[in-house]
Amino acid sequence: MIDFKVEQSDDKRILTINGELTIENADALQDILVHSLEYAEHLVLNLENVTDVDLSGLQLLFSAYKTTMELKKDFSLNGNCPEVFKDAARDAGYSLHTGCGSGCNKICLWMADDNDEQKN
Amino acid sequence: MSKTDQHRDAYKEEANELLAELETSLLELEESPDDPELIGCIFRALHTIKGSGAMFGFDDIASFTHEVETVFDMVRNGEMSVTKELVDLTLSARDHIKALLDNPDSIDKQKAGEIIASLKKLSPDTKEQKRVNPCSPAPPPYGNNPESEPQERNITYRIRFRPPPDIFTKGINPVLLINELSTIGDCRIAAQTDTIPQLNDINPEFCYTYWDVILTTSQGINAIKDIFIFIEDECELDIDVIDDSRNPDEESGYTKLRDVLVDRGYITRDDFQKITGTHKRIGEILVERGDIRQEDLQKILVEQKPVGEMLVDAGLVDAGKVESALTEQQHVNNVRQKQQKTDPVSSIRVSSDKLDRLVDLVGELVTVQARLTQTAATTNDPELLLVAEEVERLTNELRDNTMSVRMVTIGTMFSKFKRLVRDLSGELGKEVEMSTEGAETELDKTVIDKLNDPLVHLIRNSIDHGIEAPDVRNDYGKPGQGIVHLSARHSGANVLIEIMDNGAGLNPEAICDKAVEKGLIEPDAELSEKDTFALILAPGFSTAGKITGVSGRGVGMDVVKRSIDALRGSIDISSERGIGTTITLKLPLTLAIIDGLLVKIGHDFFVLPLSLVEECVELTKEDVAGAHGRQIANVRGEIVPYISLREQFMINGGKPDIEQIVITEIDSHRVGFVVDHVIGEHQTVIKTLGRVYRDVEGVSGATILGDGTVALILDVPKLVQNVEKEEVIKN
Repeated sequence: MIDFKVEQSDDKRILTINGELTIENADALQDILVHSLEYAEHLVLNLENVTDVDLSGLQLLFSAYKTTMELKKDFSLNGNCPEVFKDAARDAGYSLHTGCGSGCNKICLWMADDNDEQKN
Repeated sequence: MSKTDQHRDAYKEEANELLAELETSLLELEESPDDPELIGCIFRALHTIKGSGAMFGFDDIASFTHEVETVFDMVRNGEMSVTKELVDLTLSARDHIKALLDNPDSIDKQKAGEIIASLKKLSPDTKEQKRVNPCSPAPPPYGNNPESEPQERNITYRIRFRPPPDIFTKGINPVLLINELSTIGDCRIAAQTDTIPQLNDINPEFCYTYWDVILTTSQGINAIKDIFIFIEDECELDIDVIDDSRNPDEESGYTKLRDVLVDRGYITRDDFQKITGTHKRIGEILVERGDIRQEDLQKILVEQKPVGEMLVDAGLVDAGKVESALTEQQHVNNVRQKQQKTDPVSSIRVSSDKLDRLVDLVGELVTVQARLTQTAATTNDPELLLVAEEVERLTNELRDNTMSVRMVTIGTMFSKFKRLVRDLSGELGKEVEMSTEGAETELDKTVIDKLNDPLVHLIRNSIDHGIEAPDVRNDYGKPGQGIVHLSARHSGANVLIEIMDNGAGLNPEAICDKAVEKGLIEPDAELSEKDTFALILAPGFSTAGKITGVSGRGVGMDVVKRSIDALRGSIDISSERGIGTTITLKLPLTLAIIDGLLVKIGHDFFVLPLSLVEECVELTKEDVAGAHGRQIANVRGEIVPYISLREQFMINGGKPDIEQIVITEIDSHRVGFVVDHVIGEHQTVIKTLGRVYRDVEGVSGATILGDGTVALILDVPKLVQNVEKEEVIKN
């Protein structure tokens, strides 16, 4: 099960996702992300009530992130990331990523709080 | 116990070991004063005692050892030569450290001062002294132990795994596959996301991600391939070795890059070495993976920014790739660090209490297993039989393994005696050399522990009474220096330890006279040589009045005999006047398990130690009748006295027509034991009897059979002694 709530405040569009961020709901998630991005300058995701995440979900979020960067819009995560999300990101090897391919905005998308990598 | 106490105890244990090592090395150094390795060994031992001493608050030890260490540093550098005086002083310094360690409150400050002063006296005019040996190679620098290779060889692989896009629809979760890698080794997973399309173009049911995994495993490449076996044909899987822990500097890609850089004059070879150290840099990793071209790297390298950052800025490579390469670099570093940490640890310390407990438990397990086997055999259930067999195999392996854990080489004890011989011969004004053989022979730790005192006594005897003073020896035409030879070797389930000297030998007449005087034998008794020598083991033969612990003098050989008996061992003495004496101790390998012969009398089971059993013969009613009431059997023409266990243990019930005599050899006499049935060989775990039965003679323990019945283990020598005593009283 998945459901969404979209709120608009100033120039921010806050998308709250509840439920399972998995392949069963991937189509629905893609639609809502595309839709939300169309009108927003700054997309904020709230994943606090996500109960399950799989690789397709992670890919979609990453794609959304990449797309906002391409469009020179802002993308951020709001609130606390649930453990289930962090775990999924870590297992899939996503937690080592600090940014998108273009390397412009160096936010830590995956909230890898255990990220103590050293750069050379 | 607080943490600090634990650490201090651990230090004490370690220091004791080092002191033992120090002693051995010093004694060896006396014989070969030029050996740079020995000097290095002594220095290292001192250095460690000092260093860890300071760390755990043994400041006295640290400061004292420091002085000694300083002297040996000079010896190591060839500024001082090794003399007997130096060895003597260092030995007493070693004793002082030991005293500080064992009983820091009762230290003799003055003695410490004396030792140090004497040591210092030895050192100042070193400049004029001859070098130890100008040709000898330089002593090895501190800590230069030959590197021991890790048993398992860890290899680090880079795995690039690109699943087919439709992997989700096949019901396979690539994340699970990737994470399975962590079950075979230490791994780091970095997802590559550059192929994920934009939101409008993405098919949410496709997998776009691919992975770079850095895995360090000892299981080989096939173990990795096995994980991906289901989708082998459809996925892209590249596995490369990136770090073979054994030859860290021989990576071809590494050398290539250096050569290119040096050729172009960007950098000198030395500088490159300095900068790169031994590990690969991020740029090289990327080039090696084919993520960027060498030329692009060169361009970037001219600028002086962190390579990763430069590469991303230049748009040459995706940030995720740099991350993944960084991960690889870090992973390899971690593995190397870990390896450096773990390599020297080849053994762990376990308290012997824990080992004893383990042996106990294994003993219980063996018993239960025997029961299982028996039950399985009675029920004849094939499935149960199968399990029982498997359990039996495992139990046996476990038992052997557990026993081997408790085995200790006898060498450590031998080296302790070297010091004893050295000190004692000096004290008595005799020249004695000790040689050893079979130091690698292994024995149960309990046996070794209990063997120390008897051996000390025997060696003291050899030097004190056996080896003559140098001038006496010369008169006999023997070399002035006597020899005490200690040897150990395996013989079946026993270990034979020999203490041999080339001294005066035993005087049978003198022994007989003394035995008569003490009332041990009749004046007209005729004894074989062996029996005569055995007299010195008899209680009361000793000249000393009381039995005290064991610091050697004043303690009779009967104490030695008693200790060896307690270990289920035996003593054999042979001697020739003027040539020397050899004392042979025969000891069981372990005290926890006994190879026994299981016999049955009426409904009761008994176990006789197999090591004593010679043969089994039948005893018919006719034989008994023919012996006219005497308990004597005729075994192939030889008269063998026997003891009826049925009578001994007062077991009621009828005898079978044909009984069995188990013939044993005790102190080179053959004695038979009559039983109803001989069941067969039986390896048993010895259980001690409870306190109530402590004083029961003739039984040394008990064991539990497969069906839960208790069988008593017979103390055969004791039984024979008791019967002998009774006979003497009767007559």
